[in-house]
Amino acid sequence: MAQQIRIALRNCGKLDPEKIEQYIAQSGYLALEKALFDNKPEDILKLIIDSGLRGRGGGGFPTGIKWQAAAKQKSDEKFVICNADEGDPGAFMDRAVLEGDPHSVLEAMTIAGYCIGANKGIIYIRAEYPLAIERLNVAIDQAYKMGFLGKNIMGTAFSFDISIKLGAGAFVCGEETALIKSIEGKRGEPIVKPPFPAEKGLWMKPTIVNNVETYASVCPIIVNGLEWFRGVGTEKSPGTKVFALAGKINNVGLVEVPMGSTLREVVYEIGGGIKDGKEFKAVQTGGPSGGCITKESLDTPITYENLIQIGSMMGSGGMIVLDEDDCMVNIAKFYLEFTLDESCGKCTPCRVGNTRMFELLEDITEGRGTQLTITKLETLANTIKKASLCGLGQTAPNPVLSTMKYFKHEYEEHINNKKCRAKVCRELLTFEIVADKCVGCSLCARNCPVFCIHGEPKTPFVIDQKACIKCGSCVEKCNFDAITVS
Amino acid sequence: MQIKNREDLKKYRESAIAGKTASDKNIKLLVGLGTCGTAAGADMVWAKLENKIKSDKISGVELVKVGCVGYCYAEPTVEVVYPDGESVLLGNIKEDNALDVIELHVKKKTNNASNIIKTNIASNIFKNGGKK
Repeated sequence: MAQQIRIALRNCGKLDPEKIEQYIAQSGYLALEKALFDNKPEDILKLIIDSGLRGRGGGGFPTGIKWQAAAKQKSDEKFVICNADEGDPGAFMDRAVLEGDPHSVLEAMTIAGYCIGANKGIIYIRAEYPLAIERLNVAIDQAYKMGFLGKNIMGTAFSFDISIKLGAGAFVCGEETALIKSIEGKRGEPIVKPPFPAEKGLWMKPTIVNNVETYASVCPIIVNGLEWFRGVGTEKSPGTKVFALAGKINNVGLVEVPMGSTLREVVYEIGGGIKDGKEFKAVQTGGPSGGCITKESLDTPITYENLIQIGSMMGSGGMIVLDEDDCMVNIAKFYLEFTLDESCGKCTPCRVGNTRMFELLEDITEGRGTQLTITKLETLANTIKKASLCGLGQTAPNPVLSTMKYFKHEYEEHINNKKCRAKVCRELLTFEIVADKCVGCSLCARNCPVFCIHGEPKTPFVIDQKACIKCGSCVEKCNFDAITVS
Repeated sequence: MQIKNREDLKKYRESAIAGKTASDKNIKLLVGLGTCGTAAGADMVWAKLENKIKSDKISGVELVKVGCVGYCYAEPTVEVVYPDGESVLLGNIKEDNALDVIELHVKKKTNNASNIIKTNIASNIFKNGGKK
């Protein structure tokens, strides 16, 4: 039986997040103590590099290498930013960490500041997380009062401040360069890298941006050592990853599993399997930038590289489980609509390209699709991927490409047979009254908004297919199960 | 208290651990009060438990507010941790069955109640390095 291993979530649900003494009793601020009193910044830097910790926000960039790049820069001012702008639909890992264990993030940010020579930390958190913000504020106050933040931390020469910056809910601000622009008070639009933030970031000063979960994993590495950390997970992806399980799964919730666990372990052993005993179809990971993992890949170990190889990505950890009742074309459309809403509009491929792609998908789900629609979708998707300015645009076509790769037959059914097997795309459905079952009560006809059901009382009724708007109200009203949907 | 040097921190940590050891002698009720738990009504469960403990003058029980435990499908959750270190995680604790927590798990130590969630979290990773 697969087990969860909780590193980032080690204290979540175990201690009162508003009581610093409980955190300290659980080895809290021990990592900071070790860093400041026993180690030089370069020692900690080396430890983090050697630990193999990689960015938990989804990119998987080695954290230590990022810190080292900023540490090398000569500058009068440097910044440590915590990216808590969690925006993927169905993802809530960062919120849980911030609400359950805010000090672990503050401590790790302070250590990051010590490593790279920064004295200022900023937590960029979405305003939709009021409780997380409240608990962070309480924690920051406590840390200042006790001398874990502020001038001359614990009597050493090192000083570090942390403040909170509220995001207004734009998805693209989770991208680090857009996030930095937003902190500067400008529009949250990404800029071309390089220069990387580690060279020229906030106010053109060296800046590191890490995700909440990454910070939450830092302190245990310093306290327990890299051997311990590398003992969990795989060679190239050590440690654990937190996933937010959502969708058609029994145990909806947060899980933290060692890297290299298989999807089967996560979905069936930890997640409790699919709701109502339905058949597993796919898992969507990586949010609007990710893709699908199918039944065939249930036994693939979850690592950054493996997920990319099968056309998805780790992402921040949202895992939406889909079953036989989900239409893959519709899922692709859902995610594309999300990115479409969130596109900042700066570059044409993303702004216009994604709009056109969405319209093509609409054509397919509404029965106007042809083989040409698929060809156009493919060309457009690949163009957008190559020509968009930032990660948002470059990855926006991924849900479409991934579903087209693994569920081409569903696309073709929509186009050639005008059929949606999951019975989701209403325009493709046919509502019919089964004469044998219909008692002629006329209830459906009286409730039909377009009056397209006709018949004489006590004899079977008939739906006028040309006039039917496929609203489904007849199915809901019928007491005799006499209306079929196909 | 302001920590001005390593010695201060050491002293503070010792007192924090002593405080924890003392409170570990109580039966602790950890109520999941993240946004998720609160949305499911955990604050009402908290109030109900708090009132009961006060009105019945139940001693040796401590209510602790914690963040998200991760079992969203069974919110609100209450974890009962006994002085011997054993614990049960209870799910779907609503206002109407909140007092069962006291009756079944504080006054008694019931191990087979229907709302017990089986947890599968490795508890000793900090000792053995998490090797599978």
